[in-house]
Amino acid sequence: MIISERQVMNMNILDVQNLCKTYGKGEAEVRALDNVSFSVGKGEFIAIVGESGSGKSTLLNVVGALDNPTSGKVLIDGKDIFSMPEKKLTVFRRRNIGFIFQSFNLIPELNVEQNITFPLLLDYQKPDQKYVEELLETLGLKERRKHLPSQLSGGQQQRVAIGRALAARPAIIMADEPTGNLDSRNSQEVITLLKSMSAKYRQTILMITHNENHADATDRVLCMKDGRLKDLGVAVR
Amino acid sequence: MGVSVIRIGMEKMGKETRRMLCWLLAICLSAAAGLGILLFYMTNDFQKIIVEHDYGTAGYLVNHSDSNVAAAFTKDKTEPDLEAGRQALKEAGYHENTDPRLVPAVTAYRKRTAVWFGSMIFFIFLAVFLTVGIYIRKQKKMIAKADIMITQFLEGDMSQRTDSEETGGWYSLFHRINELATILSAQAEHEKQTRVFLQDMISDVSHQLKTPLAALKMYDEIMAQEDSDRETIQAFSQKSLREIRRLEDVVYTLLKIARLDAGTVRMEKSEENIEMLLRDVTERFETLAAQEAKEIVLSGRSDASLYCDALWMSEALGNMVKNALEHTPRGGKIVVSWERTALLTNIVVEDNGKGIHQEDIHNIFKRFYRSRFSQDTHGIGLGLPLAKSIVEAHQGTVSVTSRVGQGSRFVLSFFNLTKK
Repeated sequence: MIISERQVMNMNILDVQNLCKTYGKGEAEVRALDNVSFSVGKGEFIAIVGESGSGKSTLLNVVGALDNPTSGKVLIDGKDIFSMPEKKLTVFRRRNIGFIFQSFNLIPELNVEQNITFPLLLDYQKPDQKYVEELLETLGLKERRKHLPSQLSGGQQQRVAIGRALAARPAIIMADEPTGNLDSRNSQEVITLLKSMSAKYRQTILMITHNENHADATDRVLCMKDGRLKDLGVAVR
Repeated sequence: MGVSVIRIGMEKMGKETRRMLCWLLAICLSAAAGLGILLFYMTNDFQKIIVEHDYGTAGYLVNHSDSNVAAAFTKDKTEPDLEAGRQALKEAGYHENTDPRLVPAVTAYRKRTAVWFGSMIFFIFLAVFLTVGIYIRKQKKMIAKADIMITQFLEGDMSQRTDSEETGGWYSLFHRINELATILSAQAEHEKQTRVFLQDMISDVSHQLKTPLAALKMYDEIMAQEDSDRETIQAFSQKSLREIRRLEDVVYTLLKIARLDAGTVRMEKSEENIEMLLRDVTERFETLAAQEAKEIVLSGRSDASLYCDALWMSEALGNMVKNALEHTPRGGKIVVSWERTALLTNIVVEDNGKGIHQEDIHNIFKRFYRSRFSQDTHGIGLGLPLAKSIVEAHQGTVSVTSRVGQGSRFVLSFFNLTKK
């Protein structure tokens, strides 16, 4: 196989172009997102920081195709997600975007292993057992694979959530304050896990956090303020 | 001629498709044969019914010779009637097993039913083959499209992806193809970056080596001069030695980093006691620290262990401690602590020194990076990058937090994996 030297264009895994989201009209108009543009390369671990109301959650929701923008484009792996019909977008989102929430959101009736492979089963795929074993091992969940979420601590539950997000090997993982409900020790573990997974599996991760230390662990920091984005490049203070 | 067209058509299709079509044809032909057999039995059955009916009518006429014709057809027939009829007609050769060709009603029935069956089969088969044919055509189009996409991708357009947003086996496959494409293009980008990095590295290295080499040359020239006295020679000999050591340092460290990154290093890992490892490391710096009135403190459980290659890990830890010492003023304190959690083992090197400037914090692990805020002219800027490479070769991560004027905190995290 020959890949030609003259590569036409290298594609970013995520391209956000002039994204706008406004609520209300006229005087009551709220600009949750105001002309936000940025790009993310494959394997980058990005932090999105900002105060409450700065628009960071809205940004994550729109980029994760959970919400529609008022205008602007989001290109994931080159595909314009908002020009897709709803049904296709659902399938696309299931295959290409993973989510980690602050409140874990595990399915209480399924055990650890089932929770992790759930998105794959939703897509009628057979999970790669070797990969699942590897994930369970790395996340330190091997002994607890048959346990229910109610039998796990907060830190362990979030690890299951991370496993679930990684299982489908999506193009991007969106993490909304993944350490919000965890104590500092578990938080450090989660951030280190995310950083390590990102490096090992070349997994692109976008993480919302308001913790400066966590932002330092990432490759790049984007700062949201009043709906506008500032790429801080490296440090956050 | 028709056969050869079909044969060519069949060859163009895949093996699976050919097989499926052959089976379909076989099933259709069997169904046709089955219907033929059914026709035969239905005809026989019809003949039986007609003959029995006629037996009844004839028998009635025999037994009630004075009745009118209509009655023979409308009245109920009894057993004696049937028997009489049978007697009468069998003699004439009219019974259930008479050759159907001699019974016009049966022949007509057979013809008509055959036509019905024939048309039914024809239309059903036509529909089936048309549906299958259209399905095959559509699949071929889809596959051809994917084929084109892959070809264009291989020719250099790395932005090509297939249309894969549906459920089902084909689209799952296309999605995988897209994944493959993304990974390949990311790898190509990575290689491009590696090449750029290597070029940068080569120019850095040559720059780093040029200076000491130039100095050595100069010292050599000076020492070679006829009127050089013993003192001068001794002085410059010392200087040469220093430069040579510096050269060695750069070359060996660079080689180490390069080999680590290339993955050509074989680590010999075993369970090492962290306290002992760190005591070994910090011993090296005892005198230096004492000279500069700096304190190094170790803190952590004495039974904690780390699965690692002791030699390499000592080097990494040594570099971190050295870095901390270099950035801490007289009287400063460096605390090296470690702890093991459920998932990770963390080793922390914390100092209360100058701290790292905002701009520098993500660059300190880059090779040869010299901060513009740093007054340290001795280092070559490889200590931290080497430490990072070693940690990453153990599947660990390094992170740093720092405040200018307050100090820095480096955390090395390793997963508690079971050894393989």
